Amino acid sequence: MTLHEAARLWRLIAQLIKVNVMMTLEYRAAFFIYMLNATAQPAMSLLVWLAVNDASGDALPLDRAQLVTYYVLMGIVAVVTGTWGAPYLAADIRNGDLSKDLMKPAPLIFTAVGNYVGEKIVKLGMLLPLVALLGWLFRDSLQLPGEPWRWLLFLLSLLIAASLTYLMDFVQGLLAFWIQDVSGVLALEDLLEKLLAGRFIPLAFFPPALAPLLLVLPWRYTLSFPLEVLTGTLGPAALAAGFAWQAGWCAAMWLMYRVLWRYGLRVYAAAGA
Amino acid sequence: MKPLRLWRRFFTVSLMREAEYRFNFALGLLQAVAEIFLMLVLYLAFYRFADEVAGWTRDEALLLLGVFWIFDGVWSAALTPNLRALAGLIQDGDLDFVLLRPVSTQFLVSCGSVRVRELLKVVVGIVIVARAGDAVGVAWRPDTLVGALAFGACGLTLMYALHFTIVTCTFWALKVSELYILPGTLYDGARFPVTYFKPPMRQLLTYVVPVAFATTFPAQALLGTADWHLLPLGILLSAGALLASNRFWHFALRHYSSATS
Repeated sequence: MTLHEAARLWRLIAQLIKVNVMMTLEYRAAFFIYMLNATAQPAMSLLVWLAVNDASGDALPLDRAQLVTYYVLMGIVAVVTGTWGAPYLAADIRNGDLSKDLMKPAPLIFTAVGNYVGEKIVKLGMLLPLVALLGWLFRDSLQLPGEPWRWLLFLLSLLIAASLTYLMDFVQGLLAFWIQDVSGVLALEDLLEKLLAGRFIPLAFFPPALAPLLLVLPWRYTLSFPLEVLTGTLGPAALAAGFAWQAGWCAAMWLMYRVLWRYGLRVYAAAGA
Repeated sequence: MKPLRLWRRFFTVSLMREAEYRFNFALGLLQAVAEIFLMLVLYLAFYRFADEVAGWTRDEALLLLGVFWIFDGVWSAALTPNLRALAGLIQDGDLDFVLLRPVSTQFLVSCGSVRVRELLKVVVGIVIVARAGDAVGVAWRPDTLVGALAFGACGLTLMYALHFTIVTCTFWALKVSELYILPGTLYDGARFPVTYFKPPMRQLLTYVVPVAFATTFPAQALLGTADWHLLPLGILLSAGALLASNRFWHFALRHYSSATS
């Protein structure tokens, strides 16, 4: 890709982001309800784990402050890394609507980003005040790190996590080239994500025997890892290893996308294709 | 009774419709199993660190989880599909067809279809309640069973009245078809004993979003730790809430600008 092409691609994506911000704002009330839920869900988990923490006599692997920080900020990470595209992509492949995406002046994997970024900008605008409110409610135990470098690392890991979930979601949608109905695959991945990304059970709470497995699977890097960076539970070596795994999974998913896209388009059959 | 006869018809029609899409039916069953598996893992995780949480041992909490699935199965089979569809009826003007029928409109829009596959949760719930109950040493007496069912019925009625009232607001907020998910997160609170939560939240989950009546109180009735004073209160609250939801529905109907007029 030359510099000129890259600049053109960026202008295209920027335009798509703008359009999607407008479209999302049109349904602002609905998105606000979604954001209320995105804040309340981790809050519910937090309250329950705090009850367990009290019952165990503070014997959880995370202390109270870490637990509070982890769950208060989870809403932000969950919204930034959230995905919803796979069912739409699969439907487009199945009924031939993909053809119109193939006419666009850039590959779909880039143009589809516009929808994600546009929608997430609006969502974050609504979510941040709600998370701030939740943080205020738990102000006694909330412990935000003071060092700017930790926040920078958090942002970096958040960005990679968002790319990773985006690619994982896209790859699942692409399976529609070969299988009629991807909803089974999506449901299975959703279960694994809920279980292994640290959403309901922080990964530190799993039996130690499972720890090496959790470290290797991709789901930790979609939600838990950015939060671990921020709550300061990782030493320098674990931090570096985490980033390596995260970037590695991202690269692997990109390769997977390239292969599926290339061979998928060969079997793609639609009116006019 | 006419509504009951009608409901049996709705059930049959819904079952026939679902049997048409067998793959979706199987997938729905799979998802229910996955959900149940997830919650079991979560509870096992809790009790890795403590033998008793807020007065509930592991087996007692599992009993409550079983009660939750019985409740959740009934709720998502009989009520959720209708409450989800209601906003669409109002927005598209399809409510016209309901209003013309010679039965209570609230009954028709609330109970018109059934998601039969969700009833699997009820079966799993009963199995878990029976097994966990035996482990705790529950004496299966008829009076406690009736008490538990009465508490559960109160919970179902209260939750229904709340959800229905919220969705009825669609008459004014036409663009928002997502109103039904508004109490959703607090509904998730029904998966845990209400004593897990500290006071302001505990009162919220007992009286405002009354999930305590749905799971905690029935489980306590079985365990023999229930506060029976709460039963008449629950019945009173349920009757009041049901009546209020009906009044509000008729008030809202006057603001309905149908598809044709």
